[in-house]
Amino acid sequence: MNLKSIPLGLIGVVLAIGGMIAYSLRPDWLWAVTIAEGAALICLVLFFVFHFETVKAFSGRRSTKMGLNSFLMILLFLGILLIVNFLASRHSVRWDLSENQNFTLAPQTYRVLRTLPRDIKITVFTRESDPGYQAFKERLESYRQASTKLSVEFIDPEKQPKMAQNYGIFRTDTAIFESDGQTIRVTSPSEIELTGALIRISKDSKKRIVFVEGHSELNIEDKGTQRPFYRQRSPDSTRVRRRHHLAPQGVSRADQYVGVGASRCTPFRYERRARPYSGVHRERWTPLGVGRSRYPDRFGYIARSLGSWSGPRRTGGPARSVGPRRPHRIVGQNVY
Amino acid sequence: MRLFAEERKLRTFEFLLTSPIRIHDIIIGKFVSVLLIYLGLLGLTVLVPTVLMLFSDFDWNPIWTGYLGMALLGALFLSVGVFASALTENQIVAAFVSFGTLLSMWLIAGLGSLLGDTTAGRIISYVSYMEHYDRLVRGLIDTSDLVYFGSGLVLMLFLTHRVVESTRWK
Repeated sequence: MNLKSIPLGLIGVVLAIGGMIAYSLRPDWLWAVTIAEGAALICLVLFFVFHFETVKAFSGRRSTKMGLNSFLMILLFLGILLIVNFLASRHSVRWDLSENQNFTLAPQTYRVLRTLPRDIKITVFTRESDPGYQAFKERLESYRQASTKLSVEFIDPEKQPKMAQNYGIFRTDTAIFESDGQTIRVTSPSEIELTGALIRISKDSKKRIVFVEGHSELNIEDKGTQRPFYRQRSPDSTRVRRRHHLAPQGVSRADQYVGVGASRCTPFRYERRARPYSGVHRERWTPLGVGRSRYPDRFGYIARSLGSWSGPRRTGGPARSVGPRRPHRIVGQNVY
Repeated sequence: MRLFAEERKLRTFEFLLTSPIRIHDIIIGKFVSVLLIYLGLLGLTVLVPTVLMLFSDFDWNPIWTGYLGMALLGALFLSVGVFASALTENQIVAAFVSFGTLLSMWLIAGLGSLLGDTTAGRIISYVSYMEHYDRLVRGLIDTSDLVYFGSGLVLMLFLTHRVVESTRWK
């Protein structure tokens, strides 16, 4: 077989373009791109070697010179337009003339977007026919315009049910905010909801839960049934810990008075049903004002766990009524 | 479609090229003529909101931005048509080429949304005119959209210039 009869030039060009497209779509397939580009180079070199006289004659023609000149001019012009469009998209100016100012964000939102500490991924599960689709699209586009740290993806849960299942989506028009392992879901495209979610997810600190111990309170390192629910190695407690992003910490009575966790304390109490409900423990964090008068300045608020962590008790009853040992006293620090 | 194709078919194209005007004058003249006809037709539709205004009160701003979008989109489409017409002497072929180009530019938006918020997805979405037109219709004037339509128009007219000029040395 004669090598000259093979369209090496055409194969080389196709391989080169294919390699570039593959690299733009899948940058991680570097080996495939390298092979394609290497093969393209070999094909083109062989083409020039075997067809040198043809190439030489072709390049000497007037039409070739003019055509090449024209081609270069088009490339140059395209390059200029690309740069102009790139700059225009990066530094665009907007005039929102819509009736409800749909594309204008509040100054507070701009402030939040300017101070985002890390990248945040927003995945919106919606369909074009859904009522929230347009609002999500318009608003999140404005958000993305204002911050380069946001990436937004729209997913149709009907077309990608697996993805929706992975995120636990049961209704459309739901946006999932993800950053640094945390997840927040928003079901309304209002600016308040979206900005609130951004504030919550961009907080660096974890929620901290501080247990008072010593002086006959239970220790958080207690074993067995004496362990607080959230420290037990049951699926339920793991779920609660993850859901609330809790970082448990014990604190002695003495530390209370020097103000551990004094800043930004939010009162809450941990309620747990005495009997498992349908096999699942029902837990609830609720704000609590009790104890506020006892440590008002140091902690902001003190919350007590009402009832013991194990054994029969009445929910809402005082801690001391349970037994010889007091249950944990909780000083809660909530992040937001 | 007939702008250049018919000139070639009727063998009057050589007259144009040898006339004492430059190529870009010919192209701009032809483009402006079709654009004016288009704008005239579009201008007639202003009657609809004007009549509606007599019976209802509404915000005119999004309507004006919608008209701006229609004018820019129309100008872009016409420039693609002028380019397609310059490529061939058959106006049917020119029509197919321009429709095919515009259809691909429209469909490419779907590919962009499939790729999502990746660099390739953003570039492909940007190339499609639908995204830019949608914003104008919704009442948002963005300089990047204006630049997009302006660039597309200028690029098409420049390509037309190259094609017309190529008849001199081909």
